Amino acid sequence: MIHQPRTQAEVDRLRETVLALEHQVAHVIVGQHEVVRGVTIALLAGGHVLLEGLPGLGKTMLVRSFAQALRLRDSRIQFTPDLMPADVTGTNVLVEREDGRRMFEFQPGPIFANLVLADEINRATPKTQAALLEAMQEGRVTVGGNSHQLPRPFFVLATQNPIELEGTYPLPEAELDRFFFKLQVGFPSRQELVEIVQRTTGPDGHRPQPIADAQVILGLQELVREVPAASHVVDYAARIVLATHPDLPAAPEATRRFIRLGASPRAAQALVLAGKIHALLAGRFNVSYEDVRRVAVPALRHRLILTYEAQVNGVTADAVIRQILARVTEEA
Amino acid sequence: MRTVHREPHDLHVAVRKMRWRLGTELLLRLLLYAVGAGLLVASLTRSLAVAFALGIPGAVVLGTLLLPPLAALVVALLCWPSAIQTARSVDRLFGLRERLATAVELTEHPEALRRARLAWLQVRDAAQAAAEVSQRWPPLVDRIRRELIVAATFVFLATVLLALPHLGLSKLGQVLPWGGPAQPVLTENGLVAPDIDTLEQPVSALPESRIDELRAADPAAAQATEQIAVQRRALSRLAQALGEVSVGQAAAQAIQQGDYQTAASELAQLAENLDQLSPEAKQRLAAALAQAAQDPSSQGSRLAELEQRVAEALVGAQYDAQRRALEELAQELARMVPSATSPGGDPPDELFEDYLVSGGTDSSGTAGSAEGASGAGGERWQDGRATAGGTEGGSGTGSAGQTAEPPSLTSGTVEPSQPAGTQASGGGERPVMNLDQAAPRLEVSGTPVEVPAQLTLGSSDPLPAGGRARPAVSVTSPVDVAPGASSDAPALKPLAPEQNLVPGDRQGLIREYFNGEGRESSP
Repeated sequence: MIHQPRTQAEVDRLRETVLALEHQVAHVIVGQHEVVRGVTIALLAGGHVLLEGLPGLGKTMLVRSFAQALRLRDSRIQFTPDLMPADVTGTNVLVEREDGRRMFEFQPGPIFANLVLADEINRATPKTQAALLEAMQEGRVTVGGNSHQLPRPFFVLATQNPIELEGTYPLPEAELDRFFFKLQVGFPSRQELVEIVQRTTGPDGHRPQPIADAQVILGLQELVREVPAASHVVDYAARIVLATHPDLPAAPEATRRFIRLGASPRAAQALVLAGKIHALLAGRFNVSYEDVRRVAVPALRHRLILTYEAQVNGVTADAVIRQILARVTEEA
Repeated sequence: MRTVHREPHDLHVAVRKMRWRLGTELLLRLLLYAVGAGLLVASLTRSLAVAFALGIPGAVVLGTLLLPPLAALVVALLCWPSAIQTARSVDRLFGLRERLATAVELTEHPEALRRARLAWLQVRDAAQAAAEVSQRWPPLVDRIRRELIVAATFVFLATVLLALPHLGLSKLGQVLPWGGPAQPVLTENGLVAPDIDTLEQPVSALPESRIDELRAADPAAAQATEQIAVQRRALSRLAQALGEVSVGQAAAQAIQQGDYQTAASELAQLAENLDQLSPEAKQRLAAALAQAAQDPSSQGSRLAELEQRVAEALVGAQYDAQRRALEELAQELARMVPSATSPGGDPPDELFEDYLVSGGTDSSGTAGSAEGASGAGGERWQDGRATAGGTEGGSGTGSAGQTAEPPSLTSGTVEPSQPAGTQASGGGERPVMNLDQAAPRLEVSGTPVEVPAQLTLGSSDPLPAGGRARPAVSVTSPVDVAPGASSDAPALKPLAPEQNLVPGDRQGLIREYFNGEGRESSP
């Protein structure tokens, strides 16, 4: 089957949509351009994002702004220790029909939305966190032996607080691996803080205008996957991922010292797919080494399990990834 | 659609041009390196050949010049960039962010081109980039600037290397020990120092051309030299044969040390005690002696005949015959002593060297030639050795030796003088050689010569007990005291030949000295 080639107009439309989306979000969210671009890339890639940042930095506002700008159905789940899996996925409830008969009927949980904000996800027990696994990977939930398809696009934006360790349950590696990006929401600068105060203390603020809907998002997700990537660039991404494995002979010194567990193949997929979107947003139709490098840190940082030595010395995953990027050459 | 399909073609055309450019650049780079390196190596080879007089054929130099460019050509052809390599290089060179490489890869796989719906846009983008790059491709000289500089440096170095021989490098080879043919080296007193390597070299190992030269210049000297060499070889084989049995090792060692009197007495003692020798030892000794007698170079000589006789007697069971044969061998050994040694212990090749150093001017008379060669050799060594012998020996009189005029080298040789230590009268200063005084070349053929040393007398140091006295070397001329000698020192008097006899117990020491061991420790 020969597909009709994409035209330049389609690509231009994608860029305009993305720029408009970021513009709308920027009306609400001050600064945080990297985070906004990261969320956009993950949205176009069909991946999920783990936002890490201190309370009050606008994580929830960011998610809501995206939902409003995309005219998507959104929901918010506040994760607490007593949250049960059924509170996330939904459950079968006994209902009585008009004819007097009683039967179980599935009541969808808050996860049945296009855009789900899992707030403070690390406060829930592992059992509840595991309820998200199937939803995030396969886009469906299984309750009482019945599978229920989640709406498309399905996009989870989870937040977690990095400093509160009391009463938290660190996410298991399997679940961390299912996040496309992990973005760190930093503290705003002075100018940004002033801007935030001015916007939020005046009359009703700006509400993002919808610029796309679910269909447009799905179309864009399909389009970005058609960006060609040369074999040597894909090989570069693979070598980066392999360089995170300390047990391989070609591992850099930083990897051997500071990484206990390397990234999974999902990391390589994320690198290439995010590279494609980055290239497309940069006006190119092919993935370059630079595209891969630009998305490497958010794609890899949550997939590396650091050693005790790294934790004691305060070595972050970002620093290790940068060292790996410096070591892995473009030409094999 | 036609527009879409033209893009790959345009891209291929552009990439093909780039391949040619990159390949040409690669070839030029390698050629520049190779030509420069070849020039450098060829000029270095040529310079070394000139400096050290090495016989390097011109074809080798030409090969070092031509081989690197040929290798560069082959390597360039083997490494000629492919389309994808070209695309990657151009991407890297012009910062195209992998546009060309991706597009070339897509066009090489039509299936991928059909599947990826953005591929056509990508190929078009790459073709545009390639066209743009082609227009701003830097000039060839800019691309190979570094290689040009390196090649120019090589050429400069090659020129300098070629010019070095004309700037005096050729003299280097005459000074360095490994460079070129050996040239006589002047010592600080202006004398020609002997070439140790040549002196140590046996006559048999001398080049045939030099032996022929000696034969042509002085047949008698050559014959005498060869006879001595033959006798030495025969003695050496005898020593080797005697060394086969433990009771004969003392005699063997004495022969090797040149103490033939001791060797003869040891052989006589062996003959006396032959009954104590086991049959196996006799057999071994007989076999060794028979083998020594069978040596082609000594066929027909008296020594070989006696060796054969001893061997045959040892095989038999008659004790008297064995003893008699051994005694005859001992007598022959004792008898041939004077003819196998030279007064200064000069080996035959040394005589030859002396002859060569003297320029072959003396060819008058066979005996005179042989003696002259010997005398010259002894005198040459006297410059730094015979006099030193007197010095270290603490000779009070400073007698450097005594003249002996043998009629020929074989019939009568110059006897080494009595060791200076034994001859010293004491009371004077130690003789000191004045090396600053230029010494004339010594004459040969028994004509009087002057010792090129200034001898002074001083307190004589007694020899330490058991110490080895350096013998004063006799020369074939009376000794004249140099004008600069100390006035209060007693005048040196020439010794009569009978006074210059060496006691028997010292002869071994002297021979050992002149056979080479003493030379190594001479000042």
